[in-house]
Amino acid sequence: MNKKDMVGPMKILAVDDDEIILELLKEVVGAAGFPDITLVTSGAEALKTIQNSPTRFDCFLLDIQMPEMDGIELCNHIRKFPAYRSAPILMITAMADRQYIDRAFAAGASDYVTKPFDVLELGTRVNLAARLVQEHAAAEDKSFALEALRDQIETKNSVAMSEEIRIEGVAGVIGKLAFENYLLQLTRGGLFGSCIVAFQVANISTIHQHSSGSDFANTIIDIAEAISDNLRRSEFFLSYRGNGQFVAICHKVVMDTFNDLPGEIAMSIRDMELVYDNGAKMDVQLVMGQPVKCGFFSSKSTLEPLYKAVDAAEAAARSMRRHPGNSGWSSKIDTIRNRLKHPSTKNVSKLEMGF
Amino acid sequence: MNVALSDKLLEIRGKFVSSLPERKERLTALHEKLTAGTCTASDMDELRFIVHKIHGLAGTLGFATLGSFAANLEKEVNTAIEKGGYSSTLCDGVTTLSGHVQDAIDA
Repeated sequence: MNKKDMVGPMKILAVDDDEIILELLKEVVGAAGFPDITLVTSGAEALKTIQNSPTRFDCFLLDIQMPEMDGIELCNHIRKFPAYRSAPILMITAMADRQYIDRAFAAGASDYVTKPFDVLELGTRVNLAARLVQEHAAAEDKSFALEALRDQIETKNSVAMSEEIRIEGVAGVIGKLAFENYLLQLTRGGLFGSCIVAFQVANISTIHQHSSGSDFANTIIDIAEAISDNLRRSEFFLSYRGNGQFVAICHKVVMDTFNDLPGEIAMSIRDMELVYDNGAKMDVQLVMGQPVKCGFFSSKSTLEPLYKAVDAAEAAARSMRRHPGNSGWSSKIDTIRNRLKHPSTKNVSKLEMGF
Repeated sequence: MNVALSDKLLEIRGKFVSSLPERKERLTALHEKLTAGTCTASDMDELRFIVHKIHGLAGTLGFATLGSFAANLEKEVNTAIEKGGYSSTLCDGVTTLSGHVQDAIDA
């Protein structure tokens, strides 16, 4: 391993009701450079260990299928501790069905490893988790330093435009890395039948420039809420990637609702009546890229559909910026609102996207 | 993979193999109940638990055939539990799994 690839030590808690698996995890994770691992055999014991630990754990490895409290419920409990809101939680499980994968990520899992696992691959995934821990520690240091600075000077913008803003309490929203791991897990297991669509706030620079840090973050959360509300008819996960870019993975998408989606989201945002600090009206120009079907790609694990969707949204945003007169969906909002009021006039084709 | 890890994995593999006769004994007992039609819900849960554990461990410890057979059987057990009934296919599956377990013990 290169020196630049080295990551710091991590304190890990592994939970599995099978002691042979625990021993295996201890050896594999230890060989990957993380010998500080505590082993427990149940969810209840894990919670007790977390509460009584004098130092914070950095990472969790959880089995799903355990008697009494399963690993998904445990994951939910761990996320409720403020100290562990963003700690990496790797589910290590023999449950490969999408319903388990969805439930795990919805509960706050960061990654999902299926048993039987390859020992080298598990080492790599734990190393990725360690990198995440390092990034979070660096972000916390930066945030602490900014907090101190704020007392001395009034900063206009303490949130970088590229920053991955933490969004909590919005249905279906998960972190950027968790989203990528979710997609990798679906493609790894050949679980296709999904569609990825990206959204880009075309005028994000203007919004960022005229907003204070907290205002910018709140605007992003409002936009996430508008997208989430309008995706609720399908099963989905949504993630914010920074720079005004959102990406969603949708299952069971109905074609006609997908076509109307940008307009419906624009309508939701308009109804929020967003304003800047100075009371000026905020114009959010959100564009949607062409949806990308996961099934078009090979069975190997890949993020390619994600990148394609993101490229499509960026292209749509560039096009909108080149033709500012064509402000996308704003002009169509009234038509859509009318159509929603009078559903009988709607041309419902009920055609599900054939993945 | 480094030598120390290889040695440790061999040791863990040994422990897994040592645990197999007991698992096989339970599988045989559950098979008898399945064929006699006296399998209770808790017996089915135990069957799922045993098969699930073999599925999770065997592949990583070098018993690919045992692991993949257990994976398929786990699906059948889950279906049987969901539907609330079981078939002769499930009985045959448990017999075959016991055979694979014995192969792993002998290996």
